[in-house]
Amino acid sequence: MSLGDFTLVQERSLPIFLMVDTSKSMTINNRMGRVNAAIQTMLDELRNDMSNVQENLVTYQMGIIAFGGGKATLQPLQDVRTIEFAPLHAAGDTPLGDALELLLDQVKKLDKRAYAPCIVLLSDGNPWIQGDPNYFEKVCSKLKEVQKEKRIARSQLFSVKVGPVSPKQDCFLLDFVQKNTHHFIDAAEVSKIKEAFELITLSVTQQAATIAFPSPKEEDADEESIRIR
Amino acid sequence: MGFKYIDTNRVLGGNTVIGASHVSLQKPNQDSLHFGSYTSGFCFVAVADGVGSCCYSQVGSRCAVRVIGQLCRRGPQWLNDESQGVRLRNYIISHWQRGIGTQADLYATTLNFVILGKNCMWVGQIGDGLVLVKTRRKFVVLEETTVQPPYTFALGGVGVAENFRLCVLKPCKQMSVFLCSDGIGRVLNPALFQKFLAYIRKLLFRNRSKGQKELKEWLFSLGKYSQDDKTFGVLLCR
Repeated sequence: MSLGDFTLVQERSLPIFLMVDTSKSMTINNRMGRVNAAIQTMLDELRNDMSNVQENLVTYQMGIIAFGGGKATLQPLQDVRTIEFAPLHAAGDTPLGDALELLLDQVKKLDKRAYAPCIVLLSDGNPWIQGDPNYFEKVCSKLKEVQKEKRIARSQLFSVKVGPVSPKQDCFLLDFVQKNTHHFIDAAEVSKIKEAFELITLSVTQQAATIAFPSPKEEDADEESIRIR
Repeated sequence: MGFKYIDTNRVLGGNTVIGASHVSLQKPNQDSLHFGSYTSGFCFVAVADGVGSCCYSQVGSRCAVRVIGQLCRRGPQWLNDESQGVRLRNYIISHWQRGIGTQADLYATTLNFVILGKNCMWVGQIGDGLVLVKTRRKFVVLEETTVQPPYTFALGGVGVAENFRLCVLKPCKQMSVFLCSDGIGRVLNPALFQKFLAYIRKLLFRNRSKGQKELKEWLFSLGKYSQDDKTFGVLLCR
């Protein structure tokens, strides 16, 4: 045996979660179409970012949580090199609470070796469901619960405001990024949606350039093992 | 750099090598390694990795490891008290900042260290890197998994409080500590961390000169995986 036997060079994933509002209002000014195009461009850019894959051993994974209609739907986390993006369609209510639930579930299931994820929330209006007047308050308390999750607390969060949203929703999107105004992107004009995604892509690729290393596997059960992150 | 055998049962030391990227850019090695054993009863090993994008990070990393060295040389009583974690944190941050001056971000660096006293062993990490500690009953891994610059900025103007991991362990006769900068940590197989520590013990206790040579050659061989500066430190007791 030699010291060389202890080295292992393998890629490590950087998960990106896109939470996209697909409520009916997203059809106004072709917002949905522009978001779809921006996501496709983002995927292409990430696929082409081979320098981080080769030098820093980072692979990008993307999961899309669409919330619109009756409930939130998930396009599971997948390597961007193999993902086939199916354009999203807008209809119905804004069940953001469902989407946050799905996000929490997905983050808890993340591989232990994965980096802290990047999470993007894109919305054009208040979360609401027909027949539930207190839905917004419920979603706010759900957000607090989600933000307590250790991995989400260390994630890079972005929120994108699409269209002229109410001050209440403005506040919610700011709360999502924990009042970090640099990560709150105003794309009230539809033409700015593309720019917003470009900014996020750049931020993600720049982060991947700051390298880290694999985290350990569970240790033997017969001794006390401590892992501090 | 090299290894210091305090007696037949204790060894501390390490090595550092400049990364190919810094050689081609005519930049200095931004990592620092410092180790020592003092009459105060404390011994230590510290590894610091200057943040590449900061122009004086090599000065920052040198200052960081010296803060640990000076503390151990002075050997205050409180350092043997396991309830003094907050004091130790404050000491390291304030003394580093005092040494650097006002523009801390220009000198940003990570810091991984172990301080071994009579009653307690302090193991700390600021920013990224890897620390492995194996005692008879415990195995501790200190690691950083975020890729966010504000968090990997360790000793600098931002992110110190969020990113200072410190734990205290009871010293025992048989211990192994390995600390390294991320240039090494990211290419080590996590499934073999414990075996890796055991192998290093074998190298440095059984055949000193051969073991040290193998460690040096291994460090240079890592250049094929990463162009970053690479530094490691060890503290072994048996």
